[in-house]
Amino acid sequence: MMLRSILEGIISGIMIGGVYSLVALGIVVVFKSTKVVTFAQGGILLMGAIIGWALMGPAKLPIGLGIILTLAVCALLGLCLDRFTLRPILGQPVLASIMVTIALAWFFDSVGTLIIGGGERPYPPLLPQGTYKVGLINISQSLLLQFIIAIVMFIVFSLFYRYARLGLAMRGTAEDHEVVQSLGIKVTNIFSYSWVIASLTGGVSGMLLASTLGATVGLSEIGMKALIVVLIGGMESVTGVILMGPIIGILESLTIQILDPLVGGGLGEVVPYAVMLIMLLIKPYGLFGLKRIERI
Amino acid sequence: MHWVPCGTYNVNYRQDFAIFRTIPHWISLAIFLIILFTLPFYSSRYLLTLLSTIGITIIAVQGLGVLTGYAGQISIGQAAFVGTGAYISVIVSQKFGFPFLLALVVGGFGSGIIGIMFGLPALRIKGFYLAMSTLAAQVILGWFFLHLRGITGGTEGLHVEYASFAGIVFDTPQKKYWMIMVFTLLTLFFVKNLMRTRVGRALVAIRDNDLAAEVMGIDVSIYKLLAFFISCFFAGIAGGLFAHYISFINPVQFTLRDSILYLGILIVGGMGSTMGAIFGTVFMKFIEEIAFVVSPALTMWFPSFGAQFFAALSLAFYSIIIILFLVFEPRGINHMWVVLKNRYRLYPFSY
Repeated sequence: MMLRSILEGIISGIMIGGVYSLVALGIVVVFKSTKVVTFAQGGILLMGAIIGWALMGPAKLPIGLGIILTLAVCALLGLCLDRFTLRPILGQPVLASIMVTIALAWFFDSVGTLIIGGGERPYPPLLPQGTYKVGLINISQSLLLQFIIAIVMFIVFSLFYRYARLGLAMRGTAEDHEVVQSLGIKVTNIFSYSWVIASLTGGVSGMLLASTLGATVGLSEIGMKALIVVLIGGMESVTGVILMGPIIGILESLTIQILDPLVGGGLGEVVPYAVMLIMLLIKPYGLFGLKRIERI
Repeated sequence: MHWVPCGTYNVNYRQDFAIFRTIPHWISLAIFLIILFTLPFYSSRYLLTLLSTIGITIIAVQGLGVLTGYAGQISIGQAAFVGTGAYISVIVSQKFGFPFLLALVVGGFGSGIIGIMFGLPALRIKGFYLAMSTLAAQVILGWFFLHLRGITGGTEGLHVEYASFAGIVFDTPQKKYWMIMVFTLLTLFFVKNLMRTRVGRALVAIRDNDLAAEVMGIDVSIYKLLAFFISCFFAGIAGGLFAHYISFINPVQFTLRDSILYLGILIVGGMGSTMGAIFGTVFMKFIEEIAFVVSPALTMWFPSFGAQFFAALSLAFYSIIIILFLVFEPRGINHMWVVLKNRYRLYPFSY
């Protein structure tokens, strides 16, 4: 019985971790080209979930059209974020970008609260709701599908950064702005593209999450978890994100199942942060991150 | 650029270093102090409450200003350290019977030492990475507040007796106001002068470029930890004062949201200046009061929104203000004040 609950914990941890990876991909995309660490990814996710709910719920659009419209709005949102909040603070110290993205996350949180309130809004089922039974363990179909989508996105992003012109330009931008400018690539455009891509992944993950959990304001907290995943995996690394997402997920679900009854709950929230703190002390740039060497 | 009033000349170093130099400076200081300390005799209770919370917030923000504004180490965990100081001072004064002043100092030191522990990552990392480690401090300390039921009382919190010093019990709003203002002034005096010493200059050097600072012979690791200690010490003092002011503490008072708000206040006020923290705190409290006044009216007009409306509205206010300041005036209100002052001193010429 114990073994089974542990196994189920591991499986569900991997599945939830897949979602973390998906959200974290957006953060990596933004960081890779703009060097801005976004705390706002959770907020964008929430906006994706809420716009999706508004279009497919009260507005009663067909699901396909609803998804496409939601993604379009998310892309526009990303463009606006870059143009009106992040572009003006270009060149300011790192605190400015941190605070702007935190403030954006706050803003989206409060807009979310103003639109849907504190309750949970039901979502049209985008993914199948059943469970597979493998041996003794139940696996939720929707979580499995989310995990598969995360893997597919990972492959797409890996190929994108290796072969596509835009992906190469983004990697170049991460390396050196002046060199890329002199090669005829407009850095500000690259920034906008990164934000649009990040917002699209945010929208996708928002709709996926909301379809299983319902649209609630609490969804935005996953942005923080994703940030931890990114930090442990290494800020620049798509591989790190995909590996660390499930590991953090497993850690969290096992903590909730095994340790929480002993200490009275709430430890599942803390353990990822503790792991991150230890990681920062041992290997500050993450498992797969690039170590920056500074000059004066 | 810092202009001095016309006809004022510095003829020796003493004058050059003085904060209050001319006679009008001293007169305005005296008037300010007189108004500050006689206010309880003729002002309303509402204003006293407001000013008391402003005073406490100024102490906490001033501490954060040393760490983030002067030393350049970003901390998203100030509220957790305020909470640590509050809990420690309350526990030592209630359970072990320490006198108020000693409990306050013990709370400050305890918070400072825990701050050093969480500041250790600063020796290897900086910028965003450090911000994340202080965020971890916020979450972990917050968990301790909530789950060490035997000591902190968990969600029920702790009831706090009135502070007393030399036979005076600080039980009325007026007495509490005097107590808080004394500590606020002491903090301001200390921080303002600390930043003009060797320590302050070392911290500024570390902020501007820590590698260069190290090459110049500044022991970066010691000074970074010192900055963490000073910051968390003041946070602890603010926490102890807050606990004895409110007479009740629970974990909800020291959340991540408060930590971010402290940073926001610092940015709005202007980093790297003592005045900035004051401007920022007053401004943000002002915004909060506006939201406080506006929201009942709004909930009357739109009854469907309910109680969450106020929280969401003030959050939206804060976030918009922080973004606007970062985009349009990243040096904060303090810079506007300096510009205004210089304009006035040079009038009618432009330079």
